[in-house]
Amino acid sequence: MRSPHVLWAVVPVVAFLSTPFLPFVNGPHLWLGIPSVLAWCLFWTAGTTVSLALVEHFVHHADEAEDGDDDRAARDAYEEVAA
Amino acid sequence: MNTTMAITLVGIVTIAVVGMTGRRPSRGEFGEWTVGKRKFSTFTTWFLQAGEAFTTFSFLGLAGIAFGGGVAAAFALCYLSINFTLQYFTTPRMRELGRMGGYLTQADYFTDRFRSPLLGKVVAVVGAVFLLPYLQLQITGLGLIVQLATGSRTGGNLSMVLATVLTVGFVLWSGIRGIARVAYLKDALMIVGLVVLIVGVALSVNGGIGGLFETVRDSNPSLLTLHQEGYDATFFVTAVIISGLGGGLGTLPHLWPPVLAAGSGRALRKNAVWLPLYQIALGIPVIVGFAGVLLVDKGSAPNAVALTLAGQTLPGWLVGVVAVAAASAAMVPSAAIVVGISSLLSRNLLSAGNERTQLRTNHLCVIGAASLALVLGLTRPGLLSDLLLLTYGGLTQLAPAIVMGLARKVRVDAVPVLLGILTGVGVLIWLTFGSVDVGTFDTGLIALILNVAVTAVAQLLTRSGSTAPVPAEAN
Repeated sequence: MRSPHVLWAVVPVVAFLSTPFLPFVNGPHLWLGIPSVLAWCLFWTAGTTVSLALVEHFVHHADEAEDGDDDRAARDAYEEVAA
Repeated sequence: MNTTMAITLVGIVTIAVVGMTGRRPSRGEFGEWTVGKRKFSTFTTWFLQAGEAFTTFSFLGLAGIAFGGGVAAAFALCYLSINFTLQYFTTPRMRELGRMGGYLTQADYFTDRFRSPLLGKVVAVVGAVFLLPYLQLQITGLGLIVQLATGSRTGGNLSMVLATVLTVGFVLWSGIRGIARVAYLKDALMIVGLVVLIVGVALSVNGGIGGLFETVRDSNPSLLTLHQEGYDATFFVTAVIISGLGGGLGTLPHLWPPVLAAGSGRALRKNAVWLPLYQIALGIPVIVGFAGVLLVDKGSAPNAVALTLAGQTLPGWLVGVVAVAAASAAMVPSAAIVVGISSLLSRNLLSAGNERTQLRTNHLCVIGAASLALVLGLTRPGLLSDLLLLTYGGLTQLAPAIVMGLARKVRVDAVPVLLGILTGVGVLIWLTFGSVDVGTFDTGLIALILNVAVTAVAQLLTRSGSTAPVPAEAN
């Protein structure tokens, strides 16, 4: 898992840790009717899913072949029972 | 007995009955009880992993932090998302090693990767000792939930006993499959409970949710920032880092069985991708805590805010529904924690014979751990509270070793790892109970830094003092 696409996963982490240091976030502001800090954290919580989905899409995982074997084994077992 | 109490008790019994139905015919083997057949689907693994992220803390604690510290409560969203980011990369490898090495517990991992049964035993003791107060917290949290919902202290105590006995019952009967079955129900109840709460709050506050925050901004603007005493930038960043590392790197022993039981690494990765979205629901207790600022007496106990507010804004039967949801948020993690403690004790510390003997010893440990937590919860609820302060920080001291153990070749010896862990735990105890003023900096993080430093120095000394090759297992 050495693809540069792994870096997508770092983006939300940096966003979370920078929360207190961003004046436009860390202040008595309301975004869409809720506190800006809360809105920022909720946004990047959803952003974490997006970033990990990008990693999952672009990066090849070494265990995929093995997982495929597992899936095949499970499928074979199912077909055996169904037959 | 009022309607709320009746609904709550029926709900608790129903949760346990659902847990009982999870049992599968087995030959009484410890492995089947702990991790199933290591073939759990993405769906089942999802609920097991999500079930352990939503606890009584989600219902009571988060609303309490928002009540006292405003947006600082959002730190939970941050660290949970970081948990899942780290889990995306680490849990498939843990599962792979677990399958090859036949691990059933976190301590098995230490024993195998560092070739040291002694290290496994130390890790088992550290895990069991730090998890016990966490188990007690869930049980006393459940009692508090019922007490607040029904207004009856006796009802709260009765519910603690009932829920503990029933949880032990379904855990012994069904093992991890029972926990998985209850986790489905729990998550459905949690969503319903949270939606009911937020709707009740929105209807009770002048101007709805938007009006709530405008009023807080005008009357108490500091609650909308991280510039508060005790809840400043240092608190936020260090708490997020230590909690993010703790959950993301598998330092909590009770989080291992769901990972080891997963059917594939891909299932774990898929869950790590989508589970952060699920955490958005935690925004609701934070909003409820803010509503408490306007609607609940300032002197109220922070942990009581969510259910006090439910009592003020909802009819009795709906309060019962919220109480059942909150009770399920205590019972599922309790079940997982009790499995975590008992398996560490029976398999790694007592090392009782074959798998069947281990299962019998394990069942005794389940009963012992749950009974101890219940008795302490009823008679000395404050006794373990100091130890609870160490739970997260203490268990996070296992993180460096877990990371090093994930490598294909483990390049660190058991002794440096052991010294690092003991140093980290020792420094944490000193900082916590020695009245050392570190401001709002998380003590667990300071201990972790020293832990890594001691491990590194000890490893260098070990290497320079020995010409023998370092134990290196390529897996």
